[in-house]
Amino acid sequence: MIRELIPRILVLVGVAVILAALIAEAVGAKDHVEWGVSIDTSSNPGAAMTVFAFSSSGVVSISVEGAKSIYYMKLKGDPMIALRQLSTINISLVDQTLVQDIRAGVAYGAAGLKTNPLLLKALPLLANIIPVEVKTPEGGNNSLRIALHGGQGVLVVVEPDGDRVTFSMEYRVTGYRRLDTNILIASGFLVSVAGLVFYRMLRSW
Amino acid sequence: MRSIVNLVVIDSSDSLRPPAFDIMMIIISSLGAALATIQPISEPHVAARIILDPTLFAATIFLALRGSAGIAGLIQRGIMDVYLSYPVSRRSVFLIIYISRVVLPAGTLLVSPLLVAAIVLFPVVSRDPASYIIVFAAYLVQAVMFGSIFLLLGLVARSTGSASVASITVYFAYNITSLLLSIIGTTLRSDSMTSLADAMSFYYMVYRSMLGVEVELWQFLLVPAILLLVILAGYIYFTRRFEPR
Repeated sequence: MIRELIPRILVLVGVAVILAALIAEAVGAKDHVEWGVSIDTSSNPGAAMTVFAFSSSGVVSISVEGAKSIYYMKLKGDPMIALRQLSTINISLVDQTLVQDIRAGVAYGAAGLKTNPLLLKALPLLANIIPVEVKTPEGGNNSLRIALHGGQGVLVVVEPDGDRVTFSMEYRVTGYRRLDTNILIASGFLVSVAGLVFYRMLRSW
Repeated sequence: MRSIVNLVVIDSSDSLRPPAFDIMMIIISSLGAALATIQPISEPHVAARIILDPTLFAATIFLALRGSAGIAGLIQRGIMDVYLSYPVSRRSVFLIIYISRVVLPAGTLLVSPLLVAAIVLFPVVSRDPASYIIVFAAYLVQAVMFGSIFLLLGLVARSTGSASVASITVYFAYNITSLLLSIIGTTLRSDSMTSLADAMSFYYMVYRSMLGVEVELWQFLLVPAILLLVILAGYIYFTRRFEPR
Protein backbone atom coordinates (compact mmCIF):
# COMPACT_ATOMS: atom_id res chain seq x y z
CA MET A 1 0.00 0.00 0.00
CA ILE A 2 2.87 2.36 0.82
CA ARG A 3 4.40 1.86 -2.64
CA GLU A 4 1.16 3.21 -4.08
CA LEU A 5 1.60 6.42 -2.10
CA ILE A 6 3.31 8.34 -4.92
CA PRO A 7 0.63 7.54 -7.54
CA ARG A 8 -2.05 8.40 -4.99
CA ILE A 9 -0.41 11.77 -4.31
CA LEU A 10 -0.05 12.44 -8.07
CA VAL A 11 -3.74 11.72 -8.76
CA LEU A 12 -4.91 13.89 -5.86
CA VAL A 13 -2.53 16.75 -6.73
CA GLY A 14 -3.74 16.63 -10.35
CA VAL A 15 -7.38 16.87 -9.22
CA ALA A 16 -6.51 19.78 -6.89
CA VAL A 17 -4.72 21.61 -9.73
CA ILE A 18 -7.82 21.29 -11.97
CA LEU A 19 -9.90 22.58 -9.06
CA ALA A 20 -7.45 25.49 -8.68
CA ALA A 21 -7.93 26.38 -12.35
CA LEU A 22 -11.71 26.45 -11.90
CA ILE A 23 -11.47 28.57 -8.74
CA ALA A 24 -9.05 30.95 -10.49
CA GLU A 25 -11.50 31.35 -13.35
CA ALA A 26 -14.44 31.99 -11.00
CA VAL A 27 -12.87 34.16 -8.27
CA GLY A 28 -9.34 34.98 -9.40
CA ALA A 29 -6.98 37.47 -7.82
CA LYS A 30 -7.27 41.22 -8.39
CA ASP A 31 -4.30 43.35 -9.37
CA HIS A 32 -5.67 46.73 -8.35
CA VAL A 33 -7.71 48.20 -5.50
CA GLU A 34 -8.83 51.73 -4.62
CA TRP A 35 -10.26 52.97 -1.33
CA GLY A 36 -10.98 56.22 0.47
CA VAL A 37 -12.16 57.29 3.91
CA SER A 38 -12.73 60.50 5.79
CA ILE A 39 -11.92 60.68 9.53
CA ASP A 40 -13.52 63.15 11.91
CA THR A 41 -10.68 64.77 13.83
CA SER A 42 -12.72 67.38 15.72
CA SER A 43 -12.32 65.41 18.95
CA ASN A 44 -9.11 63.51 18.13
CA PRO A 45 -5.69 65.09 17.78
CA GLY A 46 -4.67 62.77 14.96
CA ALA A 47 -5.66 60.20 12.34
CA ALA A 48 -3.88 57.16 10.96
CA MET A 49 -4.11 54.92 7.95
CA THR A 50 -2.42 51.58 7.41
CA VAL A 51 -1.93 49.38 4.38
CA PHE A 52 -0.55 45.89 4.89
CA ALA A 53 0.37 43.63 1.98
CA PHE A 54 -0.20 40.27 3.67
CA SER A 55 0.13 38.07 0.61
CA SER A 56 0.86 40.26 -2.42
CA SER A 57 3.60 42.74 -3.27
CA GLY A 58 2.72 46.06 -4.78
CA VAL A 59 2.95 49.81 -4.90
CA VAL A 60 0.62 51.85 -2.72
CA SER A 61 -0.22 55.50 -3.38
CA ILE A 62 -1.82 57.32 -0.47
CA SER A 63 -3.23 60.84 -0.73
CA VAL A 64 -4.01 62.83 2.39
CA GLU A 65 -6.20 65.95 2.57
CA GLY A 66 -6.53 68.22 5.59
CA ALA A 67 -3.15 67.49 7.15
CA LYS A 68 -0.82 69.82 9.01
CA SER A 69 1.92 67.23 9.08
CA ILE A 70 2.27 63.63 8.00
CA TYR A 71 4.50 60.91 9.35
CA TYR A 72 4.84 57.46 7.95
CA MET A 73 6.74 54.33 8.62
CA LYS A 74 7.23 51.06 6.82
CA LEU A 75 6.55 47.96 8.84
CA LYS A 76 7.84 44.44 8.51
CA GLY A 77 5.83 41.48 9.69
CA ASP A 78 2.60 41.51 11.61
CA PRO A 79 0.77 44.90 11.80
CA MET A 80 -0.09 43.96 15.39
CA ILE A 81 3.55 44.76 16.17
CA ALA A 82 2.94 48.35 15.08
CA LEU A 83 -0.20 48.55 17.20
CA ARG A 84 1.77 47.22 20.18
CA GLN A 85 4.40 49.90 19.55
CA LEU A 86 1.73 52.61 19.34
CA SER A 87 0.15 51.54 22.62
CA THR A 88 3.63 51.50 24.19
CA ILE A 89 3.88 55.24 23.55
CA ASN A 90 0.29 55.90 24.69
CA ILE A 91 -1.39 56.30 21.32
CA SER A 92 -4.72 54.48 21.11
CA LEU A 93 -7.01 53.96 18.11
CA VAL A 94 -10.67 55.04 17.93
CA ASP A 95 -13.34 54.67 15.21
CA GLN A 96 -11.36 52.00 13.40
CA THR A 97 -12.26 50.84 9.90
CA LEU A 98 -10.43 47.78 8.62
CA VAL A 99 -10.89 46.11 5.24
CA GLN A 100 -9.25 42.83 4.35
CA ASP A 101 -9.26 42.39 0.59
CA ILE A 102 -8.06 38.81 0.18
CA ARG A 103 -8.37 38.91 -3.63
CA ALA A 104 -5.87 41.77 -3.75
CA GLY A 105 -3.74 40.30 -0.93
CA VAL A 106 -3.87 43.51 1.04
CA ALA A 107 -5.50 44.82 4.21
CA TYR A 108 -6.10 48.50 4.80
CA GLY A 109 -7.81 50.65 7.33
CA ALA A 110 -7.96 53.98 9.08
CA ALA A 111 -8.65 55.26 12.57
CA GLY A 112 -8.70 58.34 14.73
CA LEU A 113 -5.85 58.66 17.23
CA LYS A 114 -6.41 59.45 20.88
CA THR A 115 -3.25 60.81 22.40
CA ASN A 116 -1.50 63.88 23.64
CA PRO A 117 -1.10 66.24 20.61
CA LEU A 118 2.48 66.95 21.70
CA LEU A 119 3.26 63.26 21.29
CA LEU A 120 2.32 63.38 17.62
CA LYS A 121 4.70 66.31 17.11
CA ALA A 122 7.40 64.32 18.90
CA LEU A 123 7.03 61.21 16.72
CA PRO A 124 10.17 61.90 14.64
CA LEU A 125 12.16 61.97 17.88
CA LEU A 126 11.01 58.45 18.72
CA ALA A 127 12.87 56.95 15.80
CA ASN A 128 14.40 54.30 18.06
CA ILE A 129 10.87 52.99 18.74
CA ILE A 130 9.25 53.70 15.39
CA PRO A 131 11.30 54.92 12.44
CA VAL A 132 9.36 57.92 11.23
CA GLU A 133 9.86 60.08 8.20
CA VAL A 134 8.22 63.49 8.02
CA LYS A 135 6.45 64.66 4.88
CA THR A 136 5.86 68.39 4.87
CA PRO A 137 2.54 69.18 3.23
CA GLU A 138 2.49 71.42 0.21
CA GLY A 139 -1.00 72.78 -0.36
CA GLY A 140 -4.02 70.73 0.65
CA ASN A 141 -3.24 67.36 -0.92
CA ASN A 142 -0.17 65.30 -0.07
CA SER A 143 0.67 61.98 -1.55
CA LEU A 144 3.00 59.13 -0.71
CA ARG A 145 4.05 56.34 -3.02
CA ILE A 146 5.57 53.32 -1.34
CA ALA A 147 6.59 49.90 -2.63
CA LEU A 148 5.56 47.03 -0.35
CA HIS A 149 6.80 43.44 -0.39
CA GLY A 150 4.69 40.57 0.92
CA GLY A 151 4.49 40.82 4.72
CA GLN A 152 5.28 44.54 4.73
CA GLY A 153 2.99 47.41 5.55
CA VAL A 154 2.93 51.17 5.91
CA LEU A 155 1.43 53.23 8.71
CA VAL A 156 0.63 56.87 8.02
CA VAL A 157 0.02 59.18 10.99
CA VAL A 158 -1.50 62.59 10.36
CA GLU A 159 -1.72 65.69 12.51
CA PRO A 160 -4.92 67.37 11.22
CA ASP A 161 -5.22 70.91 9.94
CA GLY A 162 -8.99 71.09 10.54
CA ASP A 163 -11.94 68.92 11.58
CA ARG A 164 -11.52 66.25 8.91
CA VAL A 165 -8.71 64.23 7.35
CA THR A 166 -9.43 62.42 4.09
CA PHE A 167 -7.33 59.44 2.99
CA SER A 168 -7.41 58.03 -0.55
CA MET A 169 -5.49 54.87 -1.35
CA GLU A 170 -4.62 53.07 -4.55
CA TYR A 171 -2.77 49.76 -4.48
CA ARG A 172 -1.33 48.05 -7.55
CA VAL A 173 -0.08 44.48 -7.30
CA THR A 174 3.38 43.80 -8.74
CA GLY A 175 5.28 40.57 -9.39
CA TYR A 176 2.24 38.27 -9.46
CA ARG A 177 1.84 35.73 -12.23
CA ARG A 178 0.18 32.35 -12.35
CA LEU A 179 -0.11 29.74 -15.05
CA ASP A 180 -2.90 30.28 -17.55
CA THR A 181 -6.19 28.48 -16.75
CA ASN A 182 -5.97 26.19 -19.81
CA ILE A 183 -2.38 25.25 -18.98
CA LEU A 184 -3.44 24.52 -15.40
CA ILE A 185 -6.27 22.21 -16.49
CA ALA A 186 -3.93 20.42 -18.90
CA SER A 187 -1.21 20.09 -16.22
CA GLY A 188 -3.70 18.76 -13.67
CA PHE A 189 -4.99 16.24 -16.16
CA LEU A 190 -1.44 15.14 -17.07
CA VAL A 191 -0.37 14.79 -13.42
CA SER A 192 -3.46 12.68 -12.64
CA VAL A 193 -2.94 10.48 -15.71
CA ALA A 194 0.74 10.07 -14.78
CA GLY A 195 -0.39 8.92 -11.32
CA LEU A 196 -2.81 6.38 -12.80
CA VAL A 197 -0.20 5.05 -15.25
CA PHE A 198 2.32 4.76 -12.42
CA TYR A 199 -0.29 2.90 -10.34
CA ARG A 200 -0.96 0.47 -13.21
CA MET A 201 2.77 -0.12 -13.63
CA LEU A 202 3.16 -0.87 -9.91
CA ARG A 203 0.23 -3.31 -10.02
CA SER A 204 1.65 -5.15 -13.00
CA TRP A 205 5.09 -5.63 -11.36
CA MET B 1 18.61 -3.05 6.97
CA ARG B 2 16.14 -5.00 4.83
CA SER B 3 14.09 -5.86 7.94
CA ILE B 4 13.99 -2.18 8.92
CA VAL B 5 12.78 -1.17 5.45
CA ASN B 6 10.16 -3.94 5.51
CA LEU B 7 8.85 -2.79 8.89
CA VAL B 8 8.72 0.85 7.71
CA VAL B 9 6.70 -0.27 4.68
CA ILE B 10 4.34 -2.38 6.83
CA ASP B 11 3.76 0.28 9.46
CA SER B 12 3.46 3.13 6.92
CA SER B 13 0.83 1.10 5.06
CA ASP B 14 -1.22 1.25 8.23
CA SER B 15 -0.57 4.89 9.14
CA LEU B 16 -1.13 6.20 5.58
CA ARG B 17 -3.91 3.82 4.61
CA PRO B 18 -6.80 5.07 2.48
CA PRO B 19 -9.45 6.36 2.53
CA ALA B 20 -8.92 8.66 5.58
CA PHE B 21 -5.44 9.77 4.53
CA ASP B 22 -6.50 10.34 0.91
CA ILE B 23 -9.59 12.28 1.95
CA MET B 24 -7.51 14.54 4.15
CA MET B 25 -4.89 14.97 1.42
CA ILE B 26 -7.42 15.93 -1.28
CA ILE B 27 -9.14 18.38 1.08
CA ILE B 28 -5.95 20.15 2.15
CA SER B 29 -4.56 20.11 -1.40
CA SER B 30 -7.78 21.67 -2.69
CA LEU B 31 -7.71 24.20 0.12
CA GLY B 32 -4.11 25.02 -0.80
CA ALA B 33 -5.19 25.39 -4.40
CA ALA B 34 -8.01 27.75 -3.43
CA LEU B 35 -5.72 29.87 -1.27
CA ALA B 36 -3.11 30.01 -4.03
CA THR B 37 -5.56 31.19 -6.67
CA ILE B 38 -7.84 33.68 -4.93
CA GLN B 39 -5.04 36.04 -3.92
CA PRO B 40 -2.17 37.55 -5.91
CA ILE B 41 0.74 35.98 -4.01
CA SER B 42 3.94 37.53 -5.32
CA GLU B 43 6.68 35.85 -3.29
CA PRO B 44 7.45 32.15 -2.73
CA HIS B 45 7.93 32.30 1.06
CA VAL B 46 4.64 34.21 1.47
CA ALA B 47 2.89 31.59 -0.69
CA ALA B 48 4.30 28.76 1.42
CA ARG B 49 3.20 30.38 4.67
CA ILE B 50 -0.33 31.15 3.49
CA ILE B 51 -0.82 27.58 2.27
CA LEU B 52 0.83 25.83 5.22
CA ASP B 53 -0.90 27.73 8.04
CA PRO B 54 -4.21 25.82 7.76
CA THR B 55 -2.40 22.65 6.60
CA LEU B 56 -0.36 22.50 9.82
CA PHE B 57 -3.59 22.33 11.84
CA ALA B 58 -4.96 19.47 9.69
CA ALA B 59 -1.63 17.61 9.74
CA THR B 60 -1.40 17.91 13.53
CA ILE B 61 -4.90 16.52 14.04
CA PHE B 62 -4.01 13.64 11.71
CA LEU B 63 -0.83 12.95 13.72
CA ALA B 64 -2.86 12.90 16.93
CA LEU B 65 -5.30 10.35 15.48
CA ARG B 66 -3.10 8.15 13.29
CA GLY B 67 0.21 8.67 15.08
CA SER B 68 -0.68 8.70 18.74
CA ALA B 69 -3.93 6.70 18.73
CA GLY B 70 -2.49 4.50 15.97
CA ILE B 71 0.53 3.48 18.03
CA ALA B 72 -1.69 2.86 21.08
CA GLY B 73 -3.85 0.65 18.82
CA LEU B 74 -0.76 -1.34 17.80
CA ILE B 75 -0.03 -1.99 21.46
CA GLN B 76 -3.67 -2.86 22.28
CA ARG B 77 -3.98 -5.30 19.38
CA GLY B 78 -0.65 -6.97 20.15
CA ILE B 79 0.93 -5.89 16.85
CA MET B 80 3.77 -4.17 18.72
CA ASP B 81 4.73 -7.64 20.02
CA VAL B 82 5.07 -8.77 16.43
CA TYR B 83 7.19 -5.71 15.55
CA LEU B 84 9.46 -6.39 18.51
CA SER B 85 9.83 -10.03 17.47
CA TYR B 86 11.55 -8.93 14.24
CA PRO B 87 15.33 -9.39 14.26
CA VAL B 88 15.93 -5.67 14.76
CA SER B 89 16.90 -3.71 17.86
CA ARG B 90 14.40 -1.67 19.90
CA ARG B 91 16.32 1.39 18.77
CA SER B 92 15.47 0.49 15.17
CA VAL B 93 11.80 -0.20 15.99
CA PHE B 94 11.60 3.26 17.59
CA LEU B 95 13.15 4.77 14.47
CA ILE B 96 10.68 2.84 12.29
CA ILE B 97 7.55 3.95 14.15
CA TYR B 98 8.95 7.49 14.35
CA ILE B 99 9.34 7.60 10.56
CA SER B 100 6.04 5.93 9.72
CA ARG B 101 3.87 7.57 12.40
CA VAL B 102 5.38 11.08 12.51
CA VAL B 103 7.82 12.13 9.77
CA LEU B 104 6.20 10.46 6.75
CA PRO B 105 2.56 11.53 7.41
CA ALA B 106 3.60 15.07 8.41
CA GLY B 107 5.86 15.45 5.37
CA THR B 108 3.32 14.03 2.92
CA LEU B 109 0.41 16.11 4.21
CA LEU B 110 2.45 19.33 4.21
CA VAL B 111 4.01 18.73 0.81
CA SER B 112 0.82 17.94 -1.15
CA PRO B 113 -0.75 21.47 -1.05
CA LEU B 114 2.70 22.93 -1.71
CA LEU B 115 2.98 20.84 -4.88
CA VAL B 116 -0.38 22.16 -6.07
CA ALA B 117 0.62 25.75 -5.30
CA ALA B 118 4.01 25.27 -6.97
CA ILE B 119 2.23 24.27 -10.20
CA VAL B 120 -0.38 27.05 -10.01
CA LEU B 121 2.14 29.74 -9.04
CA PHE B 122 5.04 28.33 -11.05
CA PRO B 123 6.19 31.76 -12.35
CA VAL B 124 6.38 33.05 -8.74
CA VAL B 125 7.77 29.95 -7.00
CA SER B 126 10.44 29.35 -9.66
CA ARG B 127 11.95 32.77 -8.85
CA ASP B 128 13.17 31.52 -5.44
CA PRO B 129 12.38 27.85 -4.79
CA ALA B 130 14.85 27.75 -1.87
CA SER B 131 12.77 30.11 0.27
CA TYR B 132 9.67 28.03 -0.55
CA ILE B 133 11.44 24.91 0.69
CA ILE B 134 12.85 26.64 3.80
CA VAL B 135 9.34 27.66 4.93
CA PHE B 136 8.15 24.08 4.29
CA ALA B 137 11.04 22.75 6.41
CA ALA B 138 10.12 25.16 9.23
CA TYR B 139 6.50 23.96 9.25
CA LEU B 140 7.70 20.36 9.09
CA VAL B 141 9.83 20.90 12.22
CA GLN B 142 6.77 22.26 14.05
CA ALA B 143 4.54 19.37 12.89
CA VAL B 144 7.20 16.79 13.78
CA MET B 145 7.50 18.37 17.24
CA PHE B 146 3.77 17.92 17.82
CA GLY B 147 3.91 14.42 16.31
CA SER B 148 6.80 13.44 18.62
CA ILE B 149 4.84 14.54 21.69
CA PHE B 150 1.79 12.60 20.45
CA LEU B 151 3.89 9.48 19.81
CA LEU B 152 5.24 9.57 23.34
CA LEU B 153 1.70 10.02 24.71
CA GLY B 154 0.49 7.07 22.61
CA LEU B 155 3.28 4.84 23.92
CA VAL B 156 2.53 5.78 27.51
CA ALA B 157 -1.31 5.81 27.27
CA ARG B 158 -1.64 2.40 25.50
CA SER B 159 -5.30 3.15 24.81
CA THR B 160 -6.49 4.64 21.51
CA GLY B 161 -9.12 6.84 23.17
CA SER B 162 -6.80 8.16 25.89
CA ALA B 163 -3.97 8.71 23.41
CA SER B 164 -6.05 10.78 20.99
CA VAL B 165 -7.73 12.82 23.75
CA ALA B 166 -4.38 13.46 25.49
CA SER B 167 -2.74 14.45 22.19
CA ILE B 168 -5.47 16.88 21.16
CA THR B 169 -5.51 18.34 24.68
CA VAL B 170 -1.74 18.92 24.59
CA TYR B 171 -2.03 20.55 21.16
CA PHE B 172 -4.87 22.77 22.38
CA ALA B 173 -2.97 23.67 25.57
CA TYR B 174 0.19 24.54 23.60
CA ASN B 175 -1.69 26.91 21.30
CA ILE B 176 -3.74 28.49 24.08
CA THR B 177 -0.57 29.02 26.14
CA SER B 178 1.01 30.81 23.19
CA LEU B 179 -2.13 32.93 22.71
CA LEU B 180 -2.37 33.78 26.42
CA LEU B 181 1.31 34.75 26.57
CA SER B 182 0.76 37.00 23.58
CA ILE B 183 -2.36 38.65 25.05
CA ILE B 184 -0.91 39.05 28.55
CA GLY B 185 2.41 40.26 27.11
CA THR B 186 0.61 42.88 25.01
CA THR B 187 -1.58 43.96 27.93
CA LEU B 188 1.32 44.19 30.39
CA ARG B 189 3.62 45.56 27.66
CA SER B 190 6.04 42.73 28.36
CA ASP B 191 8.30 42.05 25.38
CA SER B 192 9.69 38.87 26.91
CA MET B 193 6.21 37.30 27.11
CA THR B 194 5.28 38.21 23.55
CA SER B 195 8.69 37.02 22.35
CA LEU B 196 8.12 33.68 24.08
CA ALA B 197 4.64 33.42 22.52
CA ASP B 198 6.15 34.08 19.09
CA ALA B 199 9.02 31.63 19.69
CA MET B 200 6.53 28.79 20.29
CA SER B 201 5.90 28.87 16.52
CA PHE B 202 9.18 27.94 14.84
CA TYR B 203 7.78 28.60 11.35
CA TYR B 204 6.79 32.11 12.38
CA MET B 205 10.35 32.83 13.53
CA VAL B 206 11.77 31.55 10.25
CA TYR B 207 9.21 33.53 8.25
CA ARG B 208 9.85 36.72 10.20
CA SER B 209 13.59 36.38 9.68
CA MET B 210 12.94 36.01 5.94
CA LEU B 211 11.01 39.29 6.06
CA GLY B 212 14.09 40.92 7.60
CA VAL B 213 12.63 41.21 11.11
CA GLU B 214 15.22 40.63 13.82
CA VAL B 215 14.76 37.30 15.63
CA GLU B 216 16.82 36.34 18.65
CA LEU B 217 18.78 33.07 18.64
CA TRP B 218 16.83 31.55 21.57
CA GLN B 219 13.60 32.14 19.68
CA PHE B 220 14.92 30.03 16.81
CA LEU B 221 16.10 27.30 19.16
CA LEU B 222 13.05 26.87 21.42
CA VAL B 223 10.98 24.52 19.23
CA PRO B 224 13.97 22.44 17.96
CA ALA B 225 15.09 22.09 21.61
CA ILE B 226 11.61 20.85 22.65
CA LEU B 227 11.68 18.48 19.67
CA LEU B 228 15.07 17.02 20.65
CA LEU B 229 14.01 16.61 24.29
CA VAL B 230 10.78 14.82 23.33
CA ILE B 231 12.60 12.50 20.88
CA LEU B 232 15.14 11.71 23.59
CA ALA B 233 12.39 11.05 26.16
CA GLY B 234 10.52 8.81 23.70
CA TYR B 235 13.70 6.96 22.77
CA ILE B 236 14.71 6.35 26.40
CA TYR B 237 11.18 5.27 27.35
CA PHE B 238 10.82 2.91 24.39
CA THR B 239 14.26 1.32 24.63
CA ARG B 240 14.49 1.01 28.43
CA ARG B 241 11.05 1.09 30.05
CA PHE B 242 8.44 0.15 27.46
CA GLU B 243 6.76 -3.23 27.78
CA PRO B 244 4.32 -4.11 25.00
CA ARG B 245 1.99 -6.06 27.35
